[in-house]
Amino acid sequence: MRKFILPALAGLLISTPAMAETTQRDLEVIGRALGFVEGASGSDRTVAIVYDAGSEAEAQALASAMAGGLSAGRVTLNARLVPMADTGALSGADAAVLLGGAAGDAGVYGAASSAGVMTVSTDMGCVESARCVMGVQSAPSVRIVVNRGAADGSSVSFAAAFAMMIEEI
Amino acid sequence: MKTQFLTTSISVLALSVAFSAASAAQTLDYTAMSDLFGEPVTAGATGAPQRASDVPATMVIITQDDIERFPEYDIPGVLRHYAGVNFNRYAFGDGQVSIRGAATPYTPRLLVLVNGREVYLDSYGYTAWSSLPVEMADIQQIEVVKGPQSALYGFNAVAGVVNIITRNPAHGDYMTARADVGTDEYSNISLSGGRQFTENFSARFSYGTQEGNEFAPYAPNAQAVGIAAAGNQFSRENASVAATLRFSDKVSMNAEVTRSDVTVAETGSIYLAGGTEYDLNSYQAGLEADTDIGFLTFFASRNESEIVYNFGSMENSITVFRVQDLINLTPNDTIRFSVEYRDAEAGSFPDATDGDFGYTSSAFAAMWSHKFSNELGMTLALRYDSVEWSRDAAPNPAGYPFTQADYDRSIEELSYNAAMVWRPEAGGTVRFTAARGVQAPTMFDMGFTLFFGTASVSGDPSIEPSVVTNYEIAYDRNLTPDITLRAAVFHQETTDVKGGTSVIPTVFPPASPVPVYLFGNHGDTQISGAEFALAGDMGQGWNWDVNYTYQSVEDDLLTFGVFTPQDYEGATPTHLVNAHLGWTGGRFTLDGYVNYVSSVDMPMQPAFGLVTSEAIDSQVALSLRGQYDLTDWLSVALNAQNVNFGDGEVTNTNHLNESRVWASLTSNF
Repeated sequence: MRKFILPALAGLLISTPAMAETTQRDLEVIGRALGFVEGASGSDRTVAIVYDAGSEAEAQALASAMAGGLSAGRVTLNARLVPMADTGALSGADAAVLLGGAAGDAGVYGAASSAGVMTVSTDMGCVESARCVMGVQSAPSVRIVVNRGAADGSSVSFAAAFAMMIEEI
Repeated sequence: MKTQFLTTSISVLALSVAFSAASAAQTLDYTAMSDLFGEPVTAGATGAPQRASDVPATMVIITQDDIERFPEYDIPGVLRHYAGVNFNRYAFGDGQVSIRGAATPYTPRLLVLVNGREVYLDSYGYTAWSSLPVEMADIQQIEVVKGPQSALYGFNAVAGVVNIITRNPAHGDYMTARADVGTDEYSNISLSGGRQFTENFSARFSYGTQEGNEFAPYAPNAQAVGIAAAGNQFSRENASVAATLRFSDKVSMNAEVTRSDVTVAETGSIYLAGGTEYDLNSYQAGLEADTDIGFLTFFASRNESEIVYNFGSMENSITVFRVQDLINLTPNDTIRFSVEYRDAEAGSFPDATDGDFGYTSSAFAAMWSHKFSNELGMTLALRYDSVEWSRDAAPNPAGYPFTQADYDRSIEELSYNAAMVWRPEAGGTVRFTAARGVQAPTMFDMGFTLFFGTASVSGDPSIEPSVVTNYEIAYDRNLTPDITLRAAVFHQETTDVKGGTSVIPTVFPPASPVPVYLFGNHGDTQISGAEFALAGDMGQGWNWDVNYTYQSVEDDLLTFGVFTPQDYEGATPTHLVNAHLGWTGGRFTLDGYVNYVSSVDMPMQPAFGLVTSEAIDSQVALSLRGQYDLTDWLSVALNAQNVNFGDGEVTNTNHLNESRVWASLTSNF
């Protein structure tokens, strides 16, 4: 019995980290969510990883995770590294994962939305401030938040069933 | 009659395809959604797609991964392993299931659906589980919603709902072939498959045939012994074909046709043993459209049945049209409106000359789900049903006290479901629910006519619906990342219990031409109880689960054995315990299950009109399953069900339950 009770009590005491780096698990959730974006065809999705100087190592790690294509449900993710200062390289991407200072940057969001690129971040502040279309948290449980205004501004829409199962703000 | 049914069916199906219809259940990509959110998803609690942790009802979702690990050959056998589920196997093919209360013969309180179509036989008021046109390997998931759900599903969803959803090839090709062979001449062949032929067209099929020797009858039950002596082997054959056509990202249509042919030993609702032949056909079609005015669903279905009971045969049909609009009004508000129309017809039965009869019904329903915050949400659902009964002619005046006009009956009922879902800072999810469900009079309850010459058995056109009110508090929590807790306490009251025929005649001359055994309302009953379920992973391929259910029933019924054969207080086990330990490693999968049911006093009717009660001792059943994967697509398994029962364990007053062992060869390609 002790074997069950002690882990249970430990679990009660564990608190959720407020904010963490984007992980491969986050990428997989983002990829699976991309499967419910309307209008896309085929299974390959190009994901722009937008980073600033402070998040370059994190960006490189994510690009490595996607090297050769990262399978996530219906889609395969292929990375494109995009420095924050080079938002012109967002064109043609299916989604942009915003890291570090890129998450919440008005210029990055403006460029992405103009190009019809869905912006996503693990920083929930980004989606709450309408500088990202989607906020994703993969642990301890999956949480997906979509900013309806940012989605409309980026011409991004989701399958109806998916839209009813996530948080919209 | 059969030709007429067929012609009507084809025209109804054509109309349905043109008119459109569908069930939201089929559209959800369950696999992709479950993988995304890390938990099962469902549309079964409110009609809106939801994560399992968000549903405002106590619900169990059983996935295909769960199903394939049970040493069970039918769906009732799978369900018996879950908290709150009462199960009894009255014969090899007659597994009965109820939620929170005795699994009485021909359990009338549980509504069962396959892909949104009711398979509950509202002619008599039960589910003939062996007749479901579903192969175990073709099931995507089984959703068990506990407590009354009439506001969403309509009449007869009073103990709960079992929603069976088959795999959808639009979300991935599959093909499964399975062959079982076992003791007591058991055999089963099952084929099912689905393919996406083009980006916009997919189809699936399933076929199954199953046979087995019947269990030995319970010796004190003369009726069961007599039927067994005449020879009764269980056999079942069923098939289904379905297709989905996608017009665009936002509009799709589906259609399905099924057939079942079953011969099975059973126990009727009054604990009288019988043997039954089912010949069932169904047709359904649907259309779903994601529009500017919401997610629109049109659904049409038709069930046709020819059922031969040992007291006579009946032909019955029910046609359903339903339109629903699901609207995400604001980020925090979802509403649903639906309208439903039903037309049910039955030939005069068992006496064939007393006038065909049936009903039409209209229903209007609405649901509002509001999220006050991420911590607090509320769901309210209301449904209004209006039913109009009629009969083509008066029953034989020499046998019955009713005129044709007596069958012109109107019934109006209101159902509701209310739920508050709260996620406290301390963790977990708390649900407070209240519900009112309605169990409608059946064709038997209203119009059954059987004249013996000196007496008769008759439905009662003045019978009242049973009303079930349920209050519940439930709590779910992840105790650790690998251990989950689910708990619930409930109180449920049923008024005007519909009890089938009386044991002795209830109407005598001069009020009737002969003494009449009447169907009727036999009083009230209530049940209170609690459920606890723990499940966890221990790492190294080990997983486990254990659940306990406590039930306390108090009847206020007419005198048992004189006016009613029902005894819920005696027939409901106080304690149910289920436990499972499983392991997977390499190519091996091993599972062991234990089921405990405490003692009951169960009614028995060894001859019509003679009702007694038998003490049934508590039972512990041990079942085992081992699987070895020969390749990535071919596996063998050995299933041992109730291994400690040997040649017979008394679990009810009809048939003993025997241990059965069978080997399975399964190919997934």
